Amino acid sequence: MVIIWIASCTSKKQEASFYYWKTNFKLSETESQTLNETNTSSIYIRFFDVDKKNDSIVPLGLVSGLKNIPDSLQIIPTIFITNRTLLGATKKDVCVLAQNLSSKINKMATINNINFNEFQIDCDWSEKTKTVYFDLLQQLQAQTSDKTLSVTIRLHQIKYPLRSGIPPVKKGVLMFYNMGKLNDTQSKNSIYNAEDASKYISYIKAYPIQLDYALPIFSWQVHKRNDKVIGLVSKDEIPDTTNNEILLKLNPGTFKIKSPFLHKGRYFMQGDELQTEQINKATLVEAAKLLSENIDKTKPHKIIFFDLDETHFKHITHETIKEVLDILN
Amino acid sequence: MKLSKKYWIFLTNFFGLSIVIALACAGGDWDGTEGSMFAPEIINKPANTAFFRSQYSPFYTGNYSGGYCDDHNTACNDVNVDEWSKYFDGKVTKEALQYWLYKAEPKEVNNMIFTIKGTTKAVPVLSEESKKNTLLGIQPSDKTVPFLYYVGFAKRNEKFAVKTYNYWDDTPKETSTATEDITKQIEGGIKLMGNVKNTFLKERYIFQVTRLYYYNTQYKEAIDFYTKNENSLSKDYSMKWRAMGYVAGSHYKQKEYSKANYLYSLIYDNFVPHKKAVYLSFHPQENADWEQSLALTKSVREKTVLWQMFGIYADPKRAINEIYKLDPKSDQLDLLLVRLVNIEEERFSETLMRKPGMKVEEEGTNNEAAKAVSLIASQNKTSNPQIWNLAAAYLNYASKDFTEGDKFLKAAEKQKASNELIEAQYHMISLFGKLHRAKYIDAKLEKDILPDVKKIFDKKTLSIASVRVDFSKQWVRNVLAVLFAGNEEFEKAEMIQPRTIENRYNNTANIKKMIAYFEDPKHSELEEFFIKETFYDKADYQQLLGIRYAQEDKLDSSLVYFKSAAGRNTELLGNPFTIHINDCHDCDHAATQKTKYTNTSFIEKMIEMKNKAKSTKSETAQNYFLIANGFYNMTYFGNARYFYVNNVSTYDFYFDYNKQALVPENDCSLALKYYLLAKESSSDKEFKAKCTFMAAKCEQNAWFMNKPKDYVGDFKAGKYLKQLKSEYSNTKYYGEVVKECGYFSTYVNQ
Repeated sequence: MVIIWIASCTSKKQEASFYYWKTNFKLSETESQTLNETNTSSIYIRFFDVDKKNDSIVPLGLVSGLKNIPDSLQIIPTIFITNRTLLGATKKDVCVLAQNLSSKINKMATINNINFNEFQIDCDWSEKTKTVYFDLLQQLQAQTSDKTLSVTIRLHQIKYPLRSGIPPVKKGVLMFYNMGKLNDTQSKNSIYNAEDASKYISYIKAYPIQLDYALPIFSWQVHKRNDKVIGLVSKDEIPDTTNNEILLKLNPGTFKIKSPFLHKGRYFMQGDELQTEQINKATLVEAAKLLSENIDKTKPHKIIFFDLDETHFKHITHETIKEVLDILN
Repeated sequence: MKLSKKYWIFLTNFFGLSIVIALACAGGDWDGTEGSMFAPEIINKPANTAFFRSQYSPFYTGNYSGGYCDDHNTACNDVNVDEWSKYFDGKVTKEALQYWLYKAEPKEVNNMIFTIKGTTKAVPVLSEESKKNTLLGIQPSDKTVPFLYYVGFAKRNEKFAVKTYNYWDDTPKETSTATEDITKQIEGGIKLMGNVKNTFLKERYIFQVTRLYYYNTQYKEAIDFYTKNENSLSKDYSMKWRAMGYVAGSHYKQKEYSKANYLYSLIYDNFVPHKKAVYLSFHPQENADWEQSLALTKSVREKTVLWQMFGIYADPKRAINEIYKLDPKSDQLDLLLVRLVNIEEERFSETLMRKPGMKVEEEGTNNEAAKAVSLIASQNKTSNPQIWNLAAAYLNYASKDFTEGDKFLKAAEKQKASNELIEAQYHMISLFGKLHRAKYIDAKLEKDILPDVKKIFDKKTLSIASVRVDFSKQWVRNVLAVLFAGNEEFEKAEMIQPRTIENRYNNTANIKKMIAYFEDPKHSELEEFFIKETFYDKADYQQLLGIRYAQEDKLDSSLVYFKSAAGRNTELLGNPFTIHINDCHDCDHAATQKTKYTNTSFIEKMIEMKNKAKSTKSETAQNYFLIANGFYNMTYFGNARYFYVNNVSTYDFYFDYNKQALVPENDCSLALKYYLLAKESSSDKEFKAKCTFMAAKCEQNAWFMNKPKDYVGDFKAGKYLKQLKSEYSNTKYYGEVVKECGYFSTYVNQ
């Protein structure tokens, strides 16, 4: 008992971090304030996505504004790779991709005077792509042996390590959100719900890779048909929700389509639902508590919030962020 | 279904061998038809193939490209070569045309022109390939030279039209050439167009110039130029539609979506090679521009085509209704019908499989789609009424309106089956209707479904192109097995679909009943049919009984069944009587074995040792020890795991920590019993130490299989390990264990 007591009293506070997922890096006043108040010294910036376009593997959505990064921040370049990029990729594709990725990340960092020690790949790999993906990771690590390569890991990958495989890296970030399949029939919040989380939670401790933990603070609009999520609707694609000729308000944040219409190229069928899903303080704290009970807190870990965007701080205050960090300490 | 199939192939890495059990796995990859029993190909419209729905994507992909092409791939080259061939009245071979159009360098084109005209002082030197494909002497020459001028011009445009980017470069550029070059080229094209008299050539210049304007982002000019010259373009040649594609693109770039989408629909309907490409460009944005597109149409036909595109893009049910209102006989309806059925099927097929004891739901699903299709089918006005009746029957059955379903099925039956695919489809839907409503099975139902079952399981049916019979067969087996299990006819259930009742065949009495079932000569006609189609036969169950008896230490009975299981005598990879401090299966498998044991010879040897242990006192301890090794090695932990591999029991073996404690092959208690017997029978301390350690291994394995979920680590010292430490620490064997076994050394050093 005494030993445990000493350990919990002397351990260093766990560090907070954020993902930055927008395409132009520019910190608003609220965002800068958030970083200061939460003593955040590092952020994960999405540099670009990798996807397939006309059968070629290409970088898309390159982030701009990297010159605006404050010197005090440690940057972890993060690359999102779609799973379909890896489907059917040949050995040669993987080799070329590994070279392209490392040179692109390095060039973007050098041009913008960014020094980094770690970089991260975010990919929801599947059984079909695990061999290709793990091969890519190995090659990437070999080409950038002076940096730590980390990857994101979904809960289902933690629960089924035999099927999903274990990525050949030293560090991972467990994404403690988007647990179920997005298109599962559900009335639950698809960002986070305790029921889904509890199915996976007991497997975390046994995972053989050192883990940091990512928690959600974002909200999104989902487009549902027959109770299934068929897509996410970005802010500028949301139809005029005050038009009650076409939309019926079911409750705050949920609308049912009364008569079909097209908007920004997206079709809303009669009976579809448009729903805002968000993480509030109670859900975030609940998630943190559940996670806290199921991780080995004696090991050093970061808590990373997804994502740094001032709109989220309307529902999640700095105090809540600090409270969550305390829970996970 | 999607999930279960994943388990059909598994690599038992735990075994240290690589057993690949790929039973009933027909090979190949997923094609997106796994949960479907409705083949869209029944509409018999090959041009629609690429628009059929796949479960994983909105369209067929891969091999189903259906001969479509766009301006960015070479599939269109054939169309172009055919048209040039007509221009030359077939006097120039297609190979030569391919060469001049797509392969020859501009310099070679010029050299050919000079050669034909003979105007230069120096005779140009033609390359070997140009000589082989020479146009010299082709009459009339007033066709060849303008052709070559055009080809030269077109080749100079390629660099503007066909761009290759390196996306990984620092700053990918969208345009690769200076605007003035392209402007000069446009002027040149217009001039050349003025010089040609031939309309065929003129069309090609119109296309080239329109495309150049587009690539030069002069969208208004592209539209104006095309409009001015539209009357010179024949609808029978590709140029009109290809040029129109750039005009539609120009409208799109200018956010004139209604015009863009209308033009795309014209190409979609009139130029099959571009059908898929223009569909992918079709993007109505708001209700207003969509309605304007409809307003631009000049005929009912054009309207129905636009609605078909909309039906694929957004809402098949709505589009079907709109087209039907406009023209009930429209050929645009069928594709949307089969897409609608496949989309609806994706919703209900996941709920079709039954589980034993599950209540059969009264309510069906997908009622709205069923109603919409029924209304049209019942009016009998479409040009393909049988398809509509089949679809209406299927959807009504899914929504559990069996009276309606039967009505439409009957109507479909009366309309003569036009081909074998439709006939197979008819039987699948018929059987679907009969079984989906069944709450129990009796002789009457068995008789009723027999003709459909025979058709669906017929090997000839499987070979019909595009037929989606796999899912139907899986579902029929599942429902029949669950229905028989509901009657407590477990053997029938097992015969039709093994493992319908989980873990039933861990029990020897049940296995005996299964063997007796196969031996019973009396079976109904349906049973007779399925016995011929069964996954496993009597020998599989006899072998399983042999395994189970061995796992119960009933070795004589085990031997009887191993001997009777014809052709099922498994060879063991390692010597099953060998044991180590640390299990090492690979070492045992690699070791040279004087005697290669099979299940049968292994059990025979076990019996022999047992007899010896009893009869010869001086060898009792040693024999018990070897028997214990045998029992240990035939479990999951041992070197002879193949012992328990059996079609019936290890078919979908997947390492599941939650279930492992329940499976006989994971139980080490027999080995433990005999290690303790061996220990009791000996007075040699070294030997006793060894028996104690082996007993500890058995104990640790039992603990591991029942390990509490929240326990950190895989080891916990039990009774026998403690005994080893307290009573045998002065033995030599103890020292070896400390050296070799990490867990133990950690434990003793605590």
